[in-house]
Amino acid sequence: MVKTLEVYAMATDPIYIGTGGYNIGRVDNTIVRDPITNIPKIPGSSLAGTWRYYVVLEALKDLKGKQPSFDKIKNQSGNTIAEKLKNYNWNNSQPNGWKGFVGNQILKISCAGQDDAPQLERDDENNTGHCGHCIVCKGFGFSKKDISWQGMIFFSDLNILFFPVFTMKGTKWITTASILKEIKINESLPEENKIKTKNGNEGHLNLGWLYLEVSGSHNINDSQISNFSIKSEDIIIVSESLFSHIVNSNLEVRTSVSIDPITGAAKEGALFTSEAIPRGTIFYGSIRIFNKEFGELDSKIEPLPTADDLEQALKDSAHYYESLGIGGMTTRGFGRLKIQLINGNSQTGGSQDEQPNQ
Amino acid sequence: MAKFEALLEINPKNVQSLAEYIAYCKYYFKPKSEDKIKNYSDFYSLKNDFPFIRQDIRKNSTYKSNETLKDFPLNWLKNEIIGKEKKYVEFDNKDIQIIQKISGIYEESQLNNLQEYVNKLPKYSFAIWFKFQLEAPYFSKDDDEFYIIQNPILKETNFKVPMVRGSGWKGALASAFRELFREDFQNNKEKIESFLRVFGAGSESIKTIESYVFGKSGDLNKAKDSLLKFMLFELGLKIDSNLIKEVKGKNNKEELFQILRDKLSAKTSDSKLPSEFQTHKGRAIFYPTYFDRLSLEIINPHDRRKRAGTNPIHYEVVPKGTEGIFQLIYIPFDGVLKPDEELKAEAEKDLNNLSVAVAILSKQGIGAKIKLGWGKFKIENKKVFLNEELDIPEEWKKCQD
Ligand SMILES: [Zn+2]
Repeated sequence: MVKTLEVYAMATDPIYIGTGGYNIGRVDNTIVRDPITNIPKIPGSSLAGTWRYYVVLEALKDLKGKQPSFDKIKNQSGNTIAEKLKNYNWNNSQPNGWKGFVGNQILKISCAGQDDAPQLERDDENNTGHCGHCIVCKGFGFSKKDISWQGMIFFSDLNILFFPVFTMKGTKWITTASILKEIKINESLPEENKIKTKNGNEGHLNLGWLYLEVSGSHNINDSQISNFSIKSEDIIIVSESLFSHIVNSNLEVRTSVSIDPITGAAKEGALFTSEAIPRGTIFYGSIRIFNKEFGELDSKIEPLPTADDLEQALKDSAHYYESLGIGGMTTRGFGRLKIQLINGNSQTGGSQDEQPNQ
Repeated sequence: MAKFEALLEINPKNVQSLAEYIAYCKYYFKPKSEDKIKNYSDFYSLKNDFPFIRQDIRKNSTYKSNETLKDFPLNWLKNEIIGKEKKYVEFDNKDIQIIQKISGIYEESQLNNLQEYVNKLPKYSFAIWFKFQLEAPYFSKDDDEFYIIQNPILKETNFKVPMVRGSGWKGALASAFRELFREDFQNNKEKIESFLRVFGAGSESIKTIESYVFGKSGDLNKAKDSLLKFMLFELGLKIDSNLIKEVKGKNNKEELFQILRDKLSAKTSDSKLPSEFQTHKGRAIFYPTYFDRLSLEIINPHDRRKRAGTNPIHYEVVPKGTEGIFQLIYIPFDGVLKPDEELKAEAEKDLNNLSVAVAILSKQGIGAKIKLGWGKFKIENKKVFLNEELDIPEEWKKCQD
């Protein structure tokens, strides 16, 4: 069984994700783009990395003070750490739902981020990295000397669905017929270099510096886009080639100066520009959660969390994107995102050939 | 002339929306003609250069002496769009509401939602929210090159609403916060620690100190230099030559730690750098502020030798009297490793220091030209949103009150 969650996100700050992924503090001038369309996107790996951290934060909020010492775990009956964890009695302090998953007794902050001890065995006393037992390690994957697990949650990239652009009629959101198809809205292409608006009678409209003829009206209504905080009258359909062009010429571009800390003066030649996906951009993507029936399963990996628990963990921690954000430069006014998760259809089967998102 | 065609839809005598105002300022930025208005022989050629004109203005004394198109649209903006009586343009509140909502800023009527958000955050998170009124113009420079006013004000990229960026608030508030310990830092070590918790640390100097302390680099001299740089530029401390000599005279790691403990943080142990002094993100997240009014200010720089004014400089500003919303969320996301009592004490100190810093900032001003008194503001309706009991500063109201 595969459970699919649709992801919709609105950039509440400009989003900067350099080509190096989600590492904080990396200064890179350009952002991640789709190699074919050249349109910027948020890579699934960035989403996986931040979400992993936010699930840890959310879990520890309730687990703090209730987790036993590692010695106490060792004194439980059982031959392996996994068995000892299973036999541990929370003494009525077991948190509810996914936070009470067997293994979360040893969930710690270092279950997120890069594993700093991948060369050790999972149950090594000196394992300071991913614990390999908690819901985060099992949901998002881990890799130790003796055992590796690719995880159960797979994140697609977040692609741009609606992109804001300034016009004389106020800010409008552009999209294309093929993008709309992804959210199951059927609209035909406008004529080449022309655009379609809700009214269709504006004559011409400027999209940034481009002045384009309005060739007709679209039939999108507010109920079809009720998941987003925009109105159908603010949507404009453009052709595929114009879309990429308009997006790339309306990115947030900031020029900064490197300051010499000694003299306080601008360093010569140290001007650098950075680009970002602008505030107000709306993205879509999906998350697939694989349920327990993986076929042949290493018994050492059991027990696995249910897809429902993992779904709840993702939903409970999505709000951190609204304050802590995603990508580099989140303390400098970049990266906040409002995320909505909507249940899609569950399907049986499904392949697992995506890249693991550890 | 496709862009001029677009302008025909604007009535520049009655600019009503922010979009129309911006369109006017953006599309007329460049002089097309070197002719004076009065030299145009017929109305048709005048209208050809200035498509927005609807009647012959060549005899109008306000405009006939304007030299080139460069001056004319600006004067038109001043007289006809901004107008002489009101002295500012006010935009439909709808423009502000949309961008505030997109940015996650809560309006006064929705503050219960902000409380709900804080409730979801880790223990001892809090939000600070207040409305303020500008007591002087606000200006921060935008790098828009295509604009009829020499110094356009910073605007949101695709919504064109004048704004203070979150990073702008962060920088300004950090500088106000430094006033709490700048002069007498040795007796205000806790305030230095609080500063680093709130704003974070990540400069090259702190990284160099760290790598020395953690034994990755053995370069003591470099570590000493970095410590001085850190004290001067990141903490803004008032350091005298004696202290510089003292730091320079240290001969080993232990002695360096002694300086840290004596001057910056009593929490320093013999071999451990307090977490505040290690590279980390700050706990405070700053939201932008948007404004709904625009105006022009003119500064006449005086040439001292000539004793006469040179060319006046125009600034697009948010005028005095305009209101805005300040919002900050504090999340001790690094606090899962600390006992609750310690976390509570930290949050209390940080909240109180922030509230003093905000008061200092309101008198210092936000944005550029604060030496001219610009950017000062009056704080109204201050609120704090908590998810655990904390001692809050006097005068501040808890959300529930
Ligand atoms: Zn773990």
